[in-house]
Amino acid sequence: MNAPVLEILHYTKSYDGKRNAVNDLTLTVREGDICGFIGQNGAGKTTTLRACAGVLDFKEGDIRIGGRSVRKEPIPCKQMTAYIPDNPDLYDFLTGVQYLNFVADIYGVEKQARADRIARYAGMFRIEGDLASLIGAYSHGMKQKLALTAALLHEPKLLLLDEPFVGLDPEAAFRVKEVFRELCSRGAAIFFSTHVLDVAEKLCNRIAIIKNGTLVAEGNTDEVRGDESLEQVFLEVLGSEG
Amino acid sequence: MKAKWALLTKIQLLEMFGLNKALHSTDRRAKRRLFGAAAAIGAAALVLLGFTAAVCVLLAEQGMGGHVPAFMLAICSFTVFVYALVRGAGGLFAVRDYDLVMSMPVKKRDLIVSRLLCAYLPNFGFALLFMLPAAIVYFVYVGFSFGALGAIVLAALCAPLAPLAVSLAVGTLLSALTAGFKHRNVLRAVFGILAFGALMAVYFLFAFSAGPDPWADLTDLASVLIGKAYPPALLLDKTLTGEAVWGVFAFAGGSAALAALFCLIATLCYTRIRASLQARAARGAYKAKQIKRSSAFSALVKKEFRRLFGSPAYLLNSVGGLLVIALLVIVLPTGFGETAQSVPLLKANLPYMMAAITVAMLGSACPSASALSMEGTARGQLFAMPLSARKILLAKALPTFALDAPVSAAAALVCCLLGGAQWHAYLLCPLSCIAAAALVALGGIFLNYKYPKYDWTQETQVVKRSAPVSILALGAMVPGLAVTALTVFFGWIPLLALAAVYAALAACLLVWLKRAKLFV
Repeated sequence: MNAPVLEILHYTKSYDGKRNAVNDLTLTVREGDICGFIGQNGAGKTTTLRACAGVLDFKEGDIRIGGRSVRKEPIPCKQMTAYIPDNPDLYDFLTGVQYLNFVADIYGVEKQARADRIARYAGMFRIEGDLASLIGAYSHGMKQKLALTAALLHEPKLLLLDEPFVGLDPEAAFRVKEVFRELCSRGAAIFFSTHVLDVAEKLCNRIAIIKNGTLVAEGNTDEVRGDESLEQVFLEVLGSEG
Repeated sequence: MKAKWALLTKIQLLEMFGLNKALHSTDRRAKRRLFGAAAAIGAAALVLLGFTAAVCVLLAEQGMGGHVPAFMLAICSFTVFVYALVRGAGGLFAVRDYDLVMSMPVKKRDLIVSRLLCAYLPNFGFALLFMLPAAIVYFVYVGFSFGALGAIVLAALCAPLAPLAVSLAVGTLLSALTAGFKHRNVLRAVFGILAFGALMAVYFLFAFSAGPDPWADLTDLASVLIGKAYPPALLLDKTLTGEAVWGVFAFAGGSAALAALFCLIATLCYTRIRASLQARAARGAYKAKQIKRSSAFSALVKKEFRRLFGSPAYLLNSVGGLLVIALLVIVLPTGFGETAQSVPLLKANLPYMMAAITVAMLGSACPSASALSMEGTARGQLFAMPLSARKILLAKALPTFALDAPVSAAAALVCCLLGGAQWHAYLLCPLSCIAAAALVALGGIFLNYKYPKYDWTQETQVVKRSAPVSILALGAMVPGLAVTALTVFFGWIPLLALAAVYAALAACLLVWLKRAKLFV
């Protein structure tokens, strides 16, 4: 069995002190895993992803990345991670290449490596012709592609993505899936939320379903799905009590 | 059914003052923050009210009671004009909810009227802070009459109209002319700085060069000041002095006509203007030499400077205090030169006074007070990066220090030179400014950390109207001005004490930075 990259241990989060947005969630994502995190709106997916990225504080439970606690050692954990929120509001006042340089500087990526990766990923997503333009002039899809390029610059061990396929054109979505598979073949892990169940079913080797803040199903895609489609399983889970 | 312009105005006002959030938020901290911000704005209004009242009384005591309302009308109109110019026309045309609103059965006219009303109402409130004390002082020193009351009320109501219409027109024109440029924000910022600097320079120069012997005839001086600061205010003066009853009606009519004309043109050309403002820069491919490597901290600082210089509103609201300092340094020692030379106490202590005034003004030159809030909805990406909160906050404080310390220290040195100061003043004055710049930079980021406002839709909500900006501007001004007064009598001692306290507070804030944490 591969080593765990992301371990979520009894994670509980409440915003108002009364109702738990996420309740006692325990989940492990290992090297090579592409784990799809699915659930209805407001189920707790973004709250979980934000906590994993170290941008949301929490009191109960722990989250470990590469064996280190996000709460106790946030900076080494963040160094191994890349996080893309659902609506990537990038810095509108920077040009694309300035933004990529900025991210590469923060993660300490060597000059040659960043030049190679920018050329590779920007070329792959077909945004190299726009990188000298201000991000403020980008469309939603272009911002999403730029955010993905930036996320891949330091070759993260763990990629956390909130709805990564929203706004991408079919070609870019295909490229993203290719990149995901390539990263995982090199030992990285990917944990992403999605509402596109077809993508989750075909791309992910692991699935986690969250309902009202509680993990209701988790395991290998084939185990979770059984003889049914993922859509049927998801609808059954939503329809059940609890 | 309510008129649509009224509904649109109501929605915007609810957002502008955060009233809806305060009413419906379940988060006690958010409510406390909003209450704190309201209290800070209230305190600032009270201070301004007290200040204008004191100026009104001072003018009336000098025998200019009859000119006080016109004088205050000139000052507030001028201020509204400068600030509206700095703010630009973004609030009218570059609104984020445009698609949402215009997809509803709403006329463009309703949208424009509501936007203009939202610009007008806060400025009318601001005008009241000037006109209310002016009216009371006028009635006390000159006597009450319903005619004068009507004239002052009418003037107060119309005071913001013309300055807003002209500044919005200039701002729109500038935005449209620069829309096609890649670095249009820098161009707009530079233009804004030049306009702001020129206006301040004109204002100061006129204020301090009213004639060969301005104190000889105070009535003439009042007319000169009013005429130079804002000529239309002379019309109110004519009515109140009984020279021409029609004056205030001409003022009100002219202001309303100008506003109506702007409204008409804006309605007719709204779509075209908006389209030209939304024009995107041409596509551009990057070059290999653009990929450079630097340290994480250096990257953060560069980003902060790019943010500052990439936003005209942010830059102008942040460097306004520095422009005032530069102009004060030029104008005050020369303007008061003769007076200072004839009063030994002033002559000896002028450099310390000027350094203290500079320190007082630094609170109005603080980008760090809004630097964290400026991250807005993009803050998640920064907080997710492998950086300590200390590093992020220090990088956000650095531009403030890098701008404030050299400018204020240089200003203090110039004052020492002009005032013929003793050798120790050359050390104390710039060092006091540097200590104040350090405290302002760190204090700004501390206040912004405690009272962040991430959910803004227009930058001015953060860079101009947020609690940290107001608290810092006032917080620096009160001790600074108090020490200015004390230096007249006690020379360098109060300035040294202030510098020591500021340096100690800055050191405490540096220690606090180690404990800071950043979450969304």
